Amino acid sequence: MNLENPTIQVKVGSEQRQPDLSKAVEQDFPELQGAYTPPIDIHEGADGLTLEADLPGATERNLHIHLEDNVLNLYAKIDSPAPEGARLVYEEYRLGDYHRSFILSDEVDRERINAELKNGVLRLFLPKADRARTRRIEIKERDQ
Amino acid sequence: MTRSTHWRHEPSGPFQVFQHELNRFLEEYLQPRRRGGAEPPPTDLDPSEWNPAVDVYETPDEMLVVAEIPGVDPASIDLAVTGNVLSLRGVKASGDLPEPQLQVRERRFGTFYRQLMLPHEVDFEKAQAEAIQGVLRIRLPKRIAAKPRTIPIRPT
Repeated sequence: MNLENPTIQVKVGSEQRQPDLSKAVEQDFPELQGAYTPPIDIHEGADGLTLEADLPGATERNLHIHLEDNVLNLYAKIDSPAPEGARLVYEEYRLGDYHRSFILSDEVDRERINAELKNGVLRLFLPKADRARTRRIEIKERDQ
Repeated sequence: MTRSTHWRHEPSGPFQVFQHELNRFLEEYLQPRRRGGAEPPPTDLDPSEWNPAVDVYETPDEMLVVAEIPGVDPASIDLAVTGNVLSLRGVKASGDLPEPQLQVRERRFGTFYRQLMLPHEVDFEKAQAEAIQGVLRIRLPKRIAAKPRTIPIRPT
């Protein structure tokens, strides 16, 4: 099942079950083995988790988000900002891909996952599934 | 009168040794991962929690300054040139989610002010900058090198 949203694609589960997702990710992207761990913030609200990650250079095309069972995987393959043959004169950061994996404790409502990418920051909203969310039960008064 | 001019260059006196050590220390502190290049490294005039990391590339036609600016509004960046110094100023503002809900906090925020000295051969008038998905690229074309000329000597 693929969930489409206006900015990036979130892949939830897969038709063919993968025994180990991280291994599957590394098979698809062998160069991710030496990938960087991007810094993240996680905010927990009553409705779910909001995750923010600094991913400069990540685009809608190169950023992949996988959620299988309760394992969330983020990965992005970053293109060099310099033209081919350019000589690196001064370096403070090394160009690299990103990879990060999380285990979610609460069940996520997969239908309502929302992701947006703005100025190199990913904001991913993972709503709690109804089962995990505290629900208010409305009591209806019956007309007499 | 032998070797009378060499003493100037010898760090033999205590002050010269101290000066040399201080320079070396500053050099190491300012250039942790320097990879050649004639220009001094970018300076950080606003040592806050967060500063953009900068890489500089060179091609035959231009210098390319690349800064990682995730979460920085490109419109808020102030890019200025004074002489051959390029300065980069702005702010990475934290998100609008309330603090008490925070479970994990790894990202850093803050104002930044960095300066880079560039070679004089760069034509700042033709500089172009673009910020795409948290990556700022500043392209600085090189001036067309002055062609070698021959100067005729007029016979008298």
